[in-house]
Amino acid sequence: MRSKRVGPALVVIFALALVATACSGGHRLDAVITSVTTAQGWIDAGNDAKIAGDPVFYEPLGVAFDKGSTLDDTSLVEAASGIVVGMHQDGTLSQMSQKWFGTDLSVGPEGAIPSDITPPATPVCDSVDAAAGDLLAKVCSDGKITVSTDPAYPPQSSLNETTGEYEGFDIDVATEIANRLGVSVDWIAPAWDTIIAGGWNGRWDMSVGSMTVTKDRAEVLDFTPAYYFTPAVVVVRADDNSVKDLSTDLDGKKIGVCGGCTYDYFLQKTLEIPGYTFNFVIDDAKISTYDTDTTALQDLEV
Amino acid sequence: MKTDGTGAGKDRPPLSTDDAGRMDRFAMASARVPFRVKVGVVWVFIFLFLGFFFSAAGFDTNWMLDQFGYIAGGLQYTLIIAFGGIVLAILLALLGALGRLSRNPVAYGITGFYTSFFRGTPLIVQMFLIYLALPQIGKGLVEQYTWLPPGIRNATILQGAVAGTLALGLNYGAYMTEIFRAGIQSVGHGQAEAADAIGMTYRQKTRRIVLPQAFRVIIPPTGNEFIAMMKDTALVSFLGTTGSTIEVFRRSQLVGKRYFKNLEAYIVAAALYWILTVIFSYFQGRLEKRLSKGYVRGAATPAAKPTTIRTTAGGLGGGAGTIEIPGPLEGGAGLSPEEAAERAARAAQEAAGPGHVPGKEHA
Repeated sequence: MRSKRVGPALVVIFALALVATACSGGHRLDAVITSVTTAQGWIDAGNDAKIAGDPVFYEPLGVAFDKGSTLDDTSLVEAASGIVVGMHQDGTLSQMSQKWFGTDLSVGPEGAIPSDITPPATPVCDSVDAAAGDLLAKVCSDGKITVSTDPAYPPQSSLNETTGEYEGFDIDVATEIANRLGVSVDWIAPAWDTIIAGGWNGRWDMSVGSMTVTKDRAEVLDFTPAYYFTPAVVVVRADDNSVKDLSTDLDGKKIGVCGGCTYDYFLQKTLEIPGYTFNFVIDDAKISTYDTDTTALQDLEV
Repeated sequence: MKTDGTGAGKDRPPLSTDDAGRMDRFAMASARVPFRVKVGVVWVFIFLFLGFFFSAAGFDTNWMLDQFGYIAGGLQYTLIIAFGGIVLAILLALLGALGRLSRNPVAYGITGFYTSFFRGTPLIVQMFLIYLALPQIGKGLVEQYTWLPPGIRNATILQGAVAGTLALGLNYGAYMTEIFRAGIQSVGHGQAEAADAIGMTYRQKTRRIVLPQAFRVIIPPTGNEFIAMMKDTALVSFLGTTGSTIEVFRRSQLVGKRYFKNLEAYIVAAALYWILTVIFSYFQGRLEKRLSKGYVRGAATPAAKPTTIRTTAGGLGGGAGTIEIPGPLEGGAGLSPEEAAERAARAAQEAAGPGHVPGKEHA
């Protein structure tokens, strides 16, 4: 007699417990850490968010090449580094930054741009020996360089669906580097994790993807000097006034970041950039990782 | 038991529309409306319900309509990847099923490992393995064993879409191996024995007797798998896309991120996949109907009424009489009235004994 009632009762209790755990929690995120360019783009698109406080850190972003590439990339990295320095010196990068970000982010801290690198004579391919057999020689003889980009990242890189072309700050920088090399650009859009992991297997030659120069990445990738610097900021919901002091108000909160990005390492306190020291002000954050920053920002709104 | 059309039987009081309660009146009226129309009404209500939630959520429908064209442009790539995958999967499933049913230890072992591995690992992991791990293996092999041609290294570096299609084919082939095996086993053992008895080789028997009959059981689940695969093509975009082969999901992701309208973009993608599925299910239904013509009662023509054949002289017992064939024959295929008449005539001839020709009157 009793067994007839216990069964259904257990099912009901189990179902209620399931619903309770699934529905608990309210907001999934309290804050998101991302670059100021992404945050501003998100806010300008009319979303219900605001930047809280000062930037938590600054990061240099460089052009990357695969260290493990079969063809030697040294001369290509040298040439690209020289081109980047040249673009700083003649103001091209400042101009592009103004165009896409409305502010000049190409100026970094003192000494960030090495003064001992001289820009090469352009187009670089005119003075390249095809018989050298390295990556630069191959790029010059092919007449094109394959560049990776992540088009899910306006204003750095996005796909213009009417023209079918990529456009953005990173796209402009990569195109200009290719012009000064004397080649055209082929684009490819791989997953971000495959780009930062190295081991590109010759699928693409260069990555201009707003990639921060960290110590771990420098082990598998070769970087040029930074082409611009972004501050990383904390984004909260527009009606959230609880975050005033960044060193205490975010401790233990649910923070969203893009997985494998510097913001992720910053929260884990493992971020190491050669030449920079960081003040890891946020303790014990409950980190949620997402495939890109905009997914994290979307979750903040919920 | 005779009925006079009002539902009254011998022992029940006659029903009239005045006496019948409202429920019975409603039931009688609704019985006149075809089933399909009623289902259609239910769907209309569901869509109204969903539409209410949709408008409450405040989505930017103008933007969704604007972007629809661009996102729909990815359909051709979705279909190419799905078709490539299903063709490969069918080939592998066929070989796999025959291997699973074989007594050859090599065939059985290989197919057993294949199904176990490709069903046991996630599809996305398989895609990444083919895309990223394969080139590493190729590189290692070529570097270690210098006598191997270096072309092997390049052969292992596959494009994203190719690696994705290959992974889809391998993965779904493993699941479909079981479907094909069940289909082959569903063909009665007597068929295979009869084929052996008349001297067919294994190949002839499989190709001409077993497989054609197995297809009827295989098609519905295979259609199901194809529908699922059309959706799984979305995973290919995680490997990387070159500008020319961006399929539906990736396109919706890109425009969503560009304009910071992720939800609207994904809803458009969902709608497109749904439309594809509905179209494909319709064609699958037609294929199934066509294949089951010899099996399902009433599939050719409806033969529900009892067929009464009058015979002239020569009925059972020597006199003229009627032979009644009850509706669809028990346990067999549905017969059209012409076929039933033929059978009845033959039965009458047998019953009448030799030398009698039905239809001719004797003096």
